[in-house]
Parts: sequence; C-alpha cells; structure tokens
Amino acid sequence: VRGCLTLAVQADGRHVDTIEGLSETGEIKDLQAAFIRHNALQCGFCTSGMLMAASELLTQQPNANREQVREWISGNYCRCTGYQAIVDAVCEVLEARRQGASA
Amino acid sequence: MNAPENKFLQASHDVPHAAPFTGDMAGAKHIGQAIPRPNLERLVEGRGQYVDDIELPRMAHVVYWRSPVAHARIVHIESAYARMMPGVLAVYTGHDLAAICKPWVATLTHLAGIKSAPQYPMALDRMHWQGEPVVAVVGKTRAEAEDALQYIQVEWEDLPAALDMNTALNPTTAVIHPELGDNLCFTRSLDTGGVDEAFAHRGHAGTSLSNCRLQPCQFTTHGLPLATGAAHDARPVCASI
Repeated sequence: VRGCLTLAVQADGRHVDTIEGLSETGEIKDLQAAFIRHNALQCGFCTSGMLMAASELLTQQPNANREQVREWISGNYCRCTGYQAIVDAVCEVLEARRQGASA
Repeated sequence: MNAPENKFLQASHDVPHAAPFTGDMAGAKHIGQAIPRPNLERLVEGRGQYVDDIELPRMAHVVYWRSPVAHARIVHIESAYARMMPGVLAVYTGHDLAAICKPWVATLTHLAGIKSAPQYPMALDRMHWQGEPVVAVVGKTRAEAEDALQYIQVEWEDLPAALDMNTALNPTTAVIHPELGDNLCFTRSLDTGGVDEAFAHRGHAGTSLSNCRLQPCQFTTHGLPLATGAAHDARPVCASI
C-alpha cells in the first residue's frame, strides 16, 4: 500500500509489515544485501518502498522474470538510480532463492 | 515511470567518436572500482533521516500562498483572519522580507551582457510567475500553518503574460521586467564567416532546433530546517537541505 495514502484506521484488524519490521526479522537480509552490492540506491528515499514491493514479489511470484520485476515495481518512483541496479538486485535475489529452493 | 531498457545501444562502431579511453590508467585509483558506501546499510533498513524527519525544539513551520497566475499586480493582501488562527506565529509578505533580505541578481560574468531582474524571496507588488511565493504563514505545526493559509485572501489584477518563447520578443508581448527594457535575457552571435554563402549554395531554407532546458530544476523535495543560536545571535547553527 502507499503509506502516504493509507490511514491507520484503514488497517484496522490487519497485519502491517514495515521496512523496520522486515529488517528486524532478517527475512529480507539477502534483498538488502543485494541492493547494497548493486548500489541500487543513492539517496535512499524510495528504497524502503522498493524493498517492500520487491519482498512481496519474492513471495508472490518467485519465478518472475526481468520484465515482470519491472512491471511489479512500476508504481515506485526512483529519481536517482534509473532502476537498472534495482532490477538487477531483485533478479539476483529471485535467482538465488530459486536455486536455494531447488537445492 | 521506469525508463525503458535500451537494448539497441550496440557496440561503439554504431556511435561515432565513442572509441574507448586508452590513456594511462596506472594512476587511476577510483575508475572502475566499486567504492563502498557505509551509509547504505541504514538506508535499506528504513533508518534514513530526511528533512521531514527532523524535529528541532520549538521548531516552527512555514507554508506559502503562491501565485496562481503568470503575471499580475497585487492589489491587496488580507491576512487578518489567518493571523487569528490557532498556532499561527507570524504572517509575512514580500515587503516584510525585502526589508531584511537583499535580492539576488542571477547574472554570470562569463556571459557578457546577460540581464536578470532582482529576485526577491517573495513577490513585492507584482507576481511574475505561477507558483511565486506571495505570503508566508508561520505556524507552530505544519497542519496549523496549512489551515491558516486557507484564510489568506489575495486580491490581484491580471496583467498580460509572456508565455511563449517564440513570441516573447514580439513588440505586442508584455515586457515582464520593464526596467530591463525587453524580455531578452541574453544573446550571442557566432559567425565564423561564409554562412550566407553556404546557405545560398546548399539551398537550405533554414531549420529549427529544439533543445532541453539547460537549467535543471530538481523536482525532488527541498527543505531547510534552521536553528538559531542565542537570542542576540541570529546566525543559523544548523542547516540541512
């Protein structure tokens, strides 16, 4: 969801995940590491949203290809990177998790 | 939206003058190296801090009433109601700020003859462009300042605007800064000779080139929290953009 457009009351009774929460549990550690490795962020303003969106993609569409990654994050703006490094990082994690799952 | 991936950029033979650099790289320490960025870790964990996150003690918030039109004369500013709104600390107009802030004249010494009208922090008697700040409302919170802003009333009289670069120099187009004489900021002629002859022989009737704006204005957020020192010392001791 868009944090800026969703009131807290609209999430009444729901489970809310945040970037801080996912960082605490360590469940997207590989994704965060890939973002750092690929230099997939400059100012970091969009990064929380990118990571949350990518995290959802990893769960929902573990077999996503590069085009699907681009489509999935098309609602998230990044003004620094030009998206290439972000897509690279997400694709790398998708591949790594697929390999991990089949191993 | 996302930039398309450029799959059509081929090897350098497609691009003239794109031969790879072959100079001495022995002394190049950083080219081609991945430079570690120690601040990335906090940014990927949602622990970045941006201007909006900064809350200083007794911090006030300023919001602006901005010109909705490209060119107009300010007839009257009614701010009495806004001043009565809860949490409002001050309301300022362009004249208030002009008394303590000198205008900026944006000329460049390497462009001989360039003209630029003095730019004040906020509009004085005329609004020169849509979005120009006209009234500043300072509140204890952003919400209170925004609420009070709704009670600012500005009466203005529309003036003819200059909206098209191609007609800006026509005699019938309004001169936006009369003290400058016309709407021409800067001109430079470059004639290496033989132009008329070349056109005559080639039979070209002329061409039109479109270029992007060369003065980029980032549309990312801009903000500036300021803190002052002791009461007698108004110099900012904390500034961040």
